[in-house]
Amino acid sequence: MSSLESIKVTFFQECEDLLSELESGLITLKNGEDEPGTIDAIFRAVHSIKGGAGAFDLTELVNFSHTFENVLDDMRSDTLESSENLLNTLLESSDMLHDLVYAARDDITWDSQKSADLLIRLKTISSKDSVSDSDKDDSHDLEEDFGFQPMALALDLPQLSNAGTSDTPGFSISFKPHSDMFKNGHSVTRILTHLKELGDLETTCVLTDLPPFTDMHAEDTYLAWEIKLTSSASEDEVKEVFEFVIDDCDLIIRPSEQSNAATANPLDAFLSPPIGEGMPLPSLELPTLGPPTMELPSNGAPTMPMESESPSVEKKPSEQKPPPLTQSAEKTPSPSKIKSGKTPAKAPAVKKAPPATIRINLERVDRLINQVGELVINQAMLTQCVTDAGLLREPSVVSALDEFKQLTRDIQDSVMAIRAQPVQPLFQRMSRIVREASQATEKKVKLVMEGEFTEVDKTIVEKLADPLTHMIRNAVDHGLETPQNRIDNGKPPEGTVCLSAAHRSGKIVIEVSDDGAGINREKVKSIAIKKGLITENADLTKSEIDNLLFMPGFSTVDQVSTLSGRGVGMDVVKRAIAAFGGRISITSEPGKGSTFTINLPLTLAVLDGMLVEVANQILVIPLTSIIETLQPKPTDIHHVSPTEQVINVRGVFLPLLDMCETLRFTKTSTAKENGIVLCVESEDGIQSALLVDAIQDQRQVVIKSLEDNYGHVPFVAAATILGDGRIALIADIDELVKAPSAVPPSLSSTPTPEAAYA
Amino acid sequence: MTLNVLAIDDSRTMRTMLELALKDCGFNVCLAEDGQQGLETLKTFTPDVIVTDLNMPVLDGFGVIDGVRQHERFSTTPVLVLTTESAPELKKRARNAGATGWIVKPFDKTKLADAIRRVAA
Repeated sequence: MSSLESIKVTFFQECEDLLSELESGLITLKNGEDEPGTIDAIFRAVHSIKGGAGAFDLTELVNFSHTFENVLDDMRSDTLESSENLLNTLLESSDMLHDLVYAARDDITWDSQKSADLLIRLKTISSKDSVSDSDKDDSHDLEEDFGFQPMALALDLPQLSNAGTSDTPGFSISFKPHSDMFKNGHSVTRILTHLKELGDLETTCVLTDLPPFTDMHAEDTYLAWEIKLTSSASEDEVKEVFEFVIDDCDLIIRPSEQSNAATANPLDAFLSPPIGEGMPLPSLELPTLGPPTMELPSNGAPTMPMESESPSVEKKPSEQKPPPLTQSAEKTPSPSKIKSGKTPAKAPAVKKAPPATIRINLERVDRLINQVGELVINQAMLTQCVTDAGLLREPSVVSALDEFKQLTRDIQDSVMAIRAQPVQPLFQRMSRIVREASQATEKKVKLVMEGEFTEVDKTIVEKLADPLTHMIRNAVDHGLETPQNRIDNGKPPEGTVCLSAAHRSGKIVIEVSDDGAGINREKVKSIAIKKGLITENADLTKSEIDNLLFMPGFSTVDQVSTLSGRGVGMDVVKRAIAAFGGRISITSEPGKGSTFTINLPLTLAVLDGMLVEVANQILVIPLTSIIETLQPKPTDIHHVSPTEQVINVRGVFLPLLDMCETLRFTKTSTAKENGIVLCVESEDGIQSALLVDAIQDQRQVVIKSLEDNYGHVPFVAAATILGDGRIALIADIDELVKAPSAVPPSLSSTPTPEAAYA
Repeated sequence: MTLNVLAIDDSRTMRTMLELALKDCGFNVCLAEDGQQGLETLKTFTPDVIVTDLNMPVLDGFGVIDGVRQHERFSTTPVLVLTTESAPELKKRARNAGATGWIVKPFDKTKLADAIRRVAA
């Protein structure tokens, strides 16, 4: 990766932070909590995005952020009144900016149509004409990897041309610093040294302007220089040396041959009148020095006759700006007067410093987690060895061992915490979903977030995005009533969707609740019957009815809505969550709303598994995929072919996989009737029954990838090391249910709800 | 002699770029995330030139210029403003506050380095 590429990565990472800062700032404003500094922070976020985008030549992003920034700048400077409408537009812009950043990151060509309308609206709001804004030109001035436009401090300088003068062998330079030049950090020595790099230098210090000693200020300069430079450098190169001081001095640069035409001492031009009174140049030299419009001497100089009284006066101080001394008087040394509105006094109280962070390659963290996993196992093995060796009678050994155990646990916890991330960015994304959903459905919605600083494993945070999006959309679309409906039911017209996260007994619990109408159980039941999901006379508890929502193919909306009814139902959400070891449940109270609760493991590095025995081997079955366990009666097992068999589970026939045969273990004598059957369900909702010898235990295991260390083994997802050092394989349920004898869900007959939700 | 450059910018991207570019050009670089941190740095780092952004949290670029100009040891240290802004009023304000030079982002490595060498005291 080139350094530019890696900076780009940094840029997009930074953008993520900035975007979330932007959004949360806008939401703060919208909630009417006008903390001082919020608008500044918002402005800076957009500004920084623009700055970085410029460096990478991301034109669309620069254009949009520039216009966006202009509006924010108006707000910042109080020329634009904040309003509900404005904030909505800004939030929309923030969403658009988000999309633009991601499009740029993923190298997707941006369709300008998408942002065109919003851009026009922003431009209408903004007082600045962003097209003619000088700023904009800069951002397009990208000649190389980094475009550049060095600029002297004042723009009001006439642009000089060096046509025709560059071939002269040298220059005669008159340089008279303004008395306060040093205050801006300039140094004459440095300038002269730099000039010397261009060629031979002959300097004369002009002392004629020294004031009486008592009037001298130690920090001011009263000297001037007459410089003869013999060099083949161009006039532009010479000017560049003076680039930053150009406004802090009186400067005349002339090609040497023309200097003959000027007076013997051109500095007279500066020196004869007191500096403070402006400086009409001596009429002898410049009799025709006319109105300021003529003041572009070097343009015309070469084409004019030598005697044309038009030396290369680069700039005539008296006309360009207030006379130096007057200016320095205005520019009182008291810095308090110069201070900007946003300097120290105001700002510091505002921003809480975020805790210091570093970014680490995820791979390194995973390696560390893996190694700590080994350490935990190793510790367990050591304890076993010590016990076996009969050393436990030694109090010192026991206490050392205990300490070791405690330390190992602590390290494991700390390491796991590295991967943990607050769910806040994820939650913030949901506020956008709510905005879009409320617009699409014309419902008024307020999103309340709780526990957004709860930390969850990074991978889980990422995987939660889709299911959560879906659930939030559902909550707005199906959960909440229309404003009119709500008023009729004595509720405030604005509905509330609450998104919360919390740690609860070693799990992460995420809840999406709404204060809508709740689940219409009668309707759900009748739909389920109509769709053949349950039998007509099924006697279901309230919770069982609610959970019908998670059945594949269930959808309560009669018409597919544009918003959430995209052909995916809650069953997809359920499976997505189950895929990373989570579980989802629902509670609902008619008229008061519904709550979806997601239970998640703290990390993906460990798994809740059921340890089962197959042919004297230990096998781990992920707990989340197990629906029920049962002891089969011989009459329930039927052969459908010499190798395939099915089991009748309360009227439902499930393919039965003998794990011993499937995994090609050496057969032991255990008869099928003495075994245990585990009914499992894959992510896709396919069910199957697994025959094992016995259930041993239920515990958390550390997942070790088999593919990294060995290779892919059919029907095995990973491995783990047990406390006694033995290796146990973790079954891959998804692969198992797709084994030839497994049947897809549509053929597995009509399940009764009991079977589906045991 | 290796020049010491203090670069102040709140954007991580910009800081990374500055660091890479300036180190590449043979400068000693010290980075700061905002104006206040930049001024704090002066206790331990003696810059020959300070390059600062304008728009920053906690203490902005103008604050940096003020702070540097009031500082007993650094009152004459050159301060280059490196910003995306190019509005004449802002430039004037920065100049009046005591800025030495103004460079518009995005910057070119060589030109930035030239500018730094040119103003270095």
